[in-house]
Amino acid sequence: MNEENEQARDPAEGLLRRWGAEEAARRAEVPDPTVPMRWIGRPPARWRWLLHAAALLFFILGASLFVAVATGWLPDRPFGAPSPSDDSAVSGLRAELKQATEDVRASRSALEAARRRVEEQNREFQAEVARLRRTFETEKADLAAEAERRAAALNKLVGQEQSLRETAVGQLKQRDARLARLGQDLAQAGRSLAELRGQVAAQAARLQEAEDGLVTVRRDAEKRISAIQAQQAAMRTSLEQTYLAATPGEDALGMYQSAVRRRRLIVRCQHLRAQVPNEATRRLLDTLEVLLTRLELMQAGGGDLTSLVRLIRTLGLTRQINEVILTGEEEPDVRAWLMETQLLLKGVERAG
Amino acid sequence: MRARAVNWLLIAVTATAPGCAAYDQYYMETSTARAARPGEEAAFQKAVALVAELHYEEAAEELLPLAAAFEEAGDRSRAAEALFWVAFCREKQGRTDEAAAGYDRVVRRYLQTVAARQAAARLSRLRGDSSH
Repeated sequence: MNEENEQARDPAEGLLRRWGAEEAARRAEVPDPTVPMRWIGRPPARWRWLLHAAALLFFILGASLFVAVATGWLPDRPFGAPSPSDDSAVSGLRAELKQATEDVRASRSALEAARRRVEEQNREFQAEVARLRRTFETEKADLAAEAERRAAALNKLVGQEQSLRETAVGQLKQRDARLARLGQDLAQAGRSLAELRGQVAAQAARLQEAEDGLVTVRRDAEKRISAIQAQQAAMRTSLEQTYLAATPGEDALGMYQSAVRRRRLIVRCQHLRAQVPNEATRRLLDTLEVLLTRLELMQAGGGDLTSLVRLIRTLGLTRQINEVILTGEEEPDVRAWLMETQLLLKGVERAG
Repeated sequence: MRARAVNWLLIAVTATAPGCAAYDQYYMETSTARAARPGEEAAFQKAVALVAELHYEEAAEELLPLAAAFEEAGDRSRAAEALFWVAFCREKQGRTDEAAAGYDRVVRRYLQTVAARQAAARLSRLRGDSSH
């Protein structure tokens, strides 16, 4: 055994020694640049064919394997594979694998569909979010506008309330001041009342004196009125004697015509008419002027007098004259002229 | 201008007055007068009543043909009176020129009548008022 080990060690030792010697020589030598460097670790030339053979062998083996695989010449199961008794288990496993693969594929499809739904829902969610955001912005803007409007209205109400309050305060102050003044006036009135009572007593005394004097004046006035009335009665009597004393008939016509001319009744009528503001009185004066003119134009012996009397009665002139006189609205000259004309017309009526 | 026209009118009237008077005398002597009919007299009284009622325009329209009728009948007094009332109506209507011409016509044409005397008085007052 030891011998065989030593024999086996010897060649190796020899080889090592030879390698060591060659290595030492190689290291000791200066390499020749012209000589190509040897491949370090390269197998010796006598072993190259072995490498070539091995390479060829592997090439042939590979080509055969490829052809076998390509043509399906390989047996159903590789070498060292399980025996056919294990095919059912393998088939089950394969079926399970296939089922699992299909499940995986279905799961992937479901996952893909779920992902698509998730993406769709995400888009919808984003759209809803955007819509809600817009709605929110709109509502926000509306709320802000409403808030501004209400704030403005509130400010306005506050301003109005302030104004009303100031007005009310001012009025209250004015009323207070007025009450104060009224209180002062009341106090003053209270003070003046006593003075006024004294003055009233003095005035009453003076009034009594004036009343006593007034009685005297009234008596004098009554006396003067009585004198005026007597004078008027005398004047009326004189006028009646002038206008009414004539005997009825045509004989009186000349006297009345003379009276119209002598008293210038037509001319006075024209002058007075210009001074009368009342339209009714002016129309009455116009009518009377016509009648007086008609009276002047009459000639004795005709039927004019009867016609004139009829006209006087138809127009109701004496009544109209009385109304104007009794109202007392016209000037005294107008009333005097009307009275004179009325007497004349009465005389004419009597004569007719 | 108006005063000058009045002067010319007076001159013309003065110049024609003798001729008119002669014609009037001739008319009075040669005309065949007839009595006024009762209807005309009643119409005259009615027209004067219209004047008294101050219906001047209606009265003037009634009086103008009556004046011609009285003139034709030879009743100069009534004719003068009718023309006088026509002028009176014009005066009351404010148509003073027409009124003055009417009064003047009565004065010139119907001398010696009561209406002419009245017309002269009113014409004088009218001219006095207009001159003022």
